[in-house]
Amino acid sequence: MAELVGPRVYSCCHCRNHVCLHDDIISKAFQGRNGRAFLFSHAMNIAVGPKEDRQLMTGLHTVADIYCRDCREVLGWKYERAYEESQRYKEGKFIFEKAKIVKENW
Amino acid sequence: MVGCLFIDDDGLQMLRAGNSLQSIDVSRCHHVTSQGLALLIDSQRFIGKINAGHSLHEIETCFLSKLSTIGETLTVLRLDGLEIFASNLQTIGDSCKNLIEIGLSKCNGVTDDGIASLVVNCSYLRTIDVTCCHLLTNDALAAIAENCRMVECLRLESCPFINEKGLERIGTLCSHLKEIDLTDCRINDEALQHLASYSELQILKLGLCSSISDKGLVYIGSNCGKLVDLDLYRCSAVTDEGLAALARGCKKIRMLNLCYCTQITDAGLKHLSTLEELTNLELRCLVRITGNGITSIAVGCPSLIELDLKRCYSVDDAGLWALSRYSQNLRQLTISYCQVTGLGLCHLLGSLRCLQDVKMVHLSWVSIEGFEMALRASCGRLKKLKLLGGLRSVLSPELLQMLQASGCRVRWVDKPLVYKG
Repeated sequence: MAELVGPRVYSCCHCRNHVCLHDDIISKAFQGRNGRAFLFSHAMNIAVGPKEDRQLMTGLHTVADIYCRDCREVLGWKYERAYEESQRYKEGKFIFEKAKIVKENW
Repeated sequence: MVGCLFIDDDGLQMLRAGNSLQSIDVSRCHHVTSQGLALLIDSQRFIGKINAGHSLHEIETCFLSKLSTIGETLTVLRLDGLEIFASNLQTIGDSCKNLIEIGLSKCNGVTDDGIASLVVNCSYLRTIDVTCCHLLTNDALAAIAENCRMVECLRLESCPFINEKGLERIGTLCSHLKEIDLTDCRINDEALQHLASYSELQILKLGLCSSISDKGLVYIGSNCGKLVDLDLYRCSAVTDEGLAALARGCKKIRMLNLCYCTQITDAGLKHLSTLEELTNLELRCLVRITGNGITSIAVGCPSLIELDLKRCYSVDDAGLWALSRYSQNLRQLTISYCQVTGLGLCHLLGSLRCLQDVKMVHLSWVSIEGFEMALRASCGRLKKLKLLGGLRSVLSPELLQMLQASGCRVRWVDKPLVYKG
């Protein structure tokens, strides 16, 4: 069996820029714009867009789209504010859509 | 040459010399482009497989037009992660009539029309992967059903417009179907009624299909006697009754995922204990199961190799005693957040000769002495461990050295103690 060397990285589907780590996954049961998405505690090499209010399945949130810093592909969004107490835990965390990220060599 | 970041088009040209190349895999090679691949194909006559997933920044006509030169021999084509339009799929279909496997997962731009123009020519297709092709509807499935009667494997994860209507045609026309992935699709019990007619079905993935209930599992249990791998991740409506139906009808199940099916109790596990061939069982966050349920499994399923009990907050030492006694083939175990003590843990790690990989984060009832004794009891058998970061500074250096010397890799994690469910 191959030994894992270093952290398990996910890359941007379009340009393979490293954007997040498997160990930072908080939940795999989110819905993105077009399908399954994961909630991560951290992100890297991304740009954050302007904040906007959006009505999501779990209520009103202030979110900002996140883009791959290299190719500008929209990969998901960042939760800036949640308006219900039960959703507060998402603040500051990142949604990456499963269709937009790819396992990098693991 | 999977993931070889420094191979580029010039490198590929070196391979032009011979002409017996049968299989090319340049997946995840960021510097390979369509031109490079096209020139390589040009020099070869017998290529059977091409995997260019997540490479080739764009799919260009120079590459697509070359496919017709190897149309006779090409049987496997994977283009995962690339942007592909209906016209591209038309070209592929026209050129490569002998395709057996097509990979289009996470491809932007794949539509029903594209799939239709591909499959109308490729009637020998056995494996079709359209994971995350979110534009596809039941019409795509209809086209596949009409044209690809030999299809054995369908990967449809995250295609939200696919539902029970699409599966009906597949059921009647494609009797060879062995594997279907419907994770994150809008699948309900009626869909499972159609799937039940696939009597050759071996692998069924229904993760995140929260509309599935016991009724659907009764359908599956009634006819899918060859089922080997069933994934019900987060199918929260499933209860013990559904498991009873599965245990009666699908006796060959080896891999079963019931994570977050939180209504399941020890009674459900008792039903599962009749599955003699069970090897991999995932039970994350089943907060109602206790050591009694684990005992049933341990006694009834002697082939158990992997068991995941993370966040089964009510599982205590009784479960570990049973595993220690009966699960001699166990190789991988996760007991993070379980209510176990140092005594149970010590007995477990001392008894199971095959146990190599243990994840035990946040065992709040195990003392430092408990960890010391338990880890020493494993006698150098452990190869992978996952422990809470805080333990690193309190476990004795001798123990840590001993683990390292015996080839054990430890992953220290700093996760906050949070209860879910």
